[in-house]
Amino acid sequence: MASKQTYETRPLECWGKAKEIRENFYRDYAQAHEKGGLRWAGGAWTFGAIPCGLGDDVYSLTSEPYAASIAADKKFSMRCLEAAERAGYARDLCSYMRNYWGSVILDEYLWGGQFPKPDFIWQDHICCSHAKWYQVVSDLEPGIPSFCIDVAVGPAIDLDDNKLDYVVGQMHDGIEWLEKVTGRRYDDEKLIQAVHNECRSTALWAEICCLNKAVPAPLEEKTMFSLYVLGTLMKHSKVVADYYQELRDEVAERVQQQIAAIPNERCRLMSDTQPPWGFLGLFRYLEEYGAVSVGSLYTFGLIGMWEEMSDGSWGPRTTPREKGIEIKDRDQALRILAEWNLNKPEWQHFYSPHLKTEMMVRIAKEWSLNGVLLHYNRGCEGLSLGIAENRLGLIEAGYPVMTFEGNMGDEREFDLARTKARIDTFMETLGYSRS
Amino acid sequence: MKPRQDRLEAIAARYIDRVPCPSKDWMERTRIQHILDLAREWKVDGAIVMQQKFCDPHELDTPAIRKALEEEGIKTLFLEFDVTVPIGQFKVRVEAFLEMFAEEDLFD
Repeated sequence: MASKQTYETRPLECWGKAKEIRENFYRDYAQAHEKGGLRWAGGAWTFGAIPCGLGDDVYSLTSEPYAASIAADKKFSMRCLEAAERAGYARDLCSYMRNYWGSVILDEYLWGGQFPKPDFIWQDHICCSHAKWYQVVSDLEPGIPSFCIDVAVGPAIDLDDNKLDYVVGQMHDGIEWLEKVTGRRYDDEKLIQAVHNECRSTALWAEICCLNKAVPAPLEEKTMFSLYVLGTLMKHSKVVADYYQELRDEVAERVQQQIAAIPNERCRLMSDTQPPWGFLGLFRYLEEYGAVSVGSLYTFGLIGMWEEMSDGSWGPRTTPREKGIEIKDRDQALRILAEWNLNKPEWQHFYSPHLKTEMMVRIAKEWSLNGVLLHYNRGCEGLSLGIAENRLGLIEAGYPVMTFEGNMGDEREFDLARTKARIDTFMETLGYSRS
Repeated sequence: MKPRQDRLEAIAARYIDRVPCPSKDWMERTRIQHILDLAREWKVDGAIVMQQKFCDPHELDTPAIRKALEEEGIKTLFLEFDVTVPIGQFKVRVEAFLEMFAEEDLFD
């Protein structure tokens, strides 16, 4: 079964730039007030393009990637989790929330100094706790004005004008609210540009993920986590869209030259949901078996935007510009932004696990997988919703599945030794041994 | 439900106006005022706040609900259960909670 072929491998040339973009994001948010700018906080899925209309000096802190960064710092994370528990928040709540609130309660920013309080909160609500996350933030940091858009209008396959109007109407209200709470005049041109940037960056990320259909895979998932995250920080920015274009070109070149993510690729896997962020070494452990995790619905579809191509395969969603659409006004921009996001793959399973299973089976087929690792993630009920149903669907489609329990952001609920032992058994069952 | 010319609109208004599930109770929490009104109207001395684990929206409101009740002088007992309910333990805790009120009567 196992080929002994060895591929050439090398680090990404644009890796350093990704690190720089991420560092600038957290620094710019913290220092925004020093330059007379504004700070806002909201989730990674919020409509970040909309506050762009307030000016170029408006910086955000997206809560999930911030909390994931805390989780990777086990010592600080434990202090944050315990601070949230002391304040009365249950230990089985989303571990991103608990890490984030802990940082607020301790008044410590992961990158040093006090926690930079946002000027306003700009959130959306699909997961049952998204708006509630910031309700608690408002309890902990009173006086921050908050606005939240309800996007729970059902799956994209059932999207109609009434549902779209509901979301777009809230967006219009939100812009009026932004003008009122910031005292700034809203610039529709900046919104339009941000919408174009968001469509470009999220379609480019999907295109990059598509390049991983190649054998050998040019990227492995541990690296992809550090790259997709830029979309969770500011998918609406030109900086991220331009970076993803550069990355796409480099990854395409790797495919052409057969530059592999790991030299001994013999087995192709995918994962699911957020990984236990403090234990990403697990992905390196897989490599000892010649196994590469080529991605997941999570890394592909949390930010990436997809559509079915003419040959029936999954590919990057066609952007408005590629369709020849020039956005002329606010309403058109908001409508495109809403429709674009309501088609997000990772929003679909909130309505039915079968929609997620279909996408996972598609990935398993098109990315030529040998097996699947499912993280039963106690830290995120939203993305783990229906995951046991997904397991059954994958098995029915003929893909071997290994499950492991854990928590993306609370190391007390992850057992590294036990998970490695499961991987050993799974890989041996698939017929692979350590290199 | 208040009747309206458009019956569907009347049903929709009823859904929007009723006390919501905590998952839909944002950005301001309307449930807390409702709970405080109930407590005042029924002249309660204490409240038992029940929590089924892994129901995040309820868990997210628990600290705020307990704080609001206690600020109004209403004592709270927090009971948390999972797929199984620890009846024996709950009985002991509820008895202790009730005895606490009796003790206050004794020293009034």
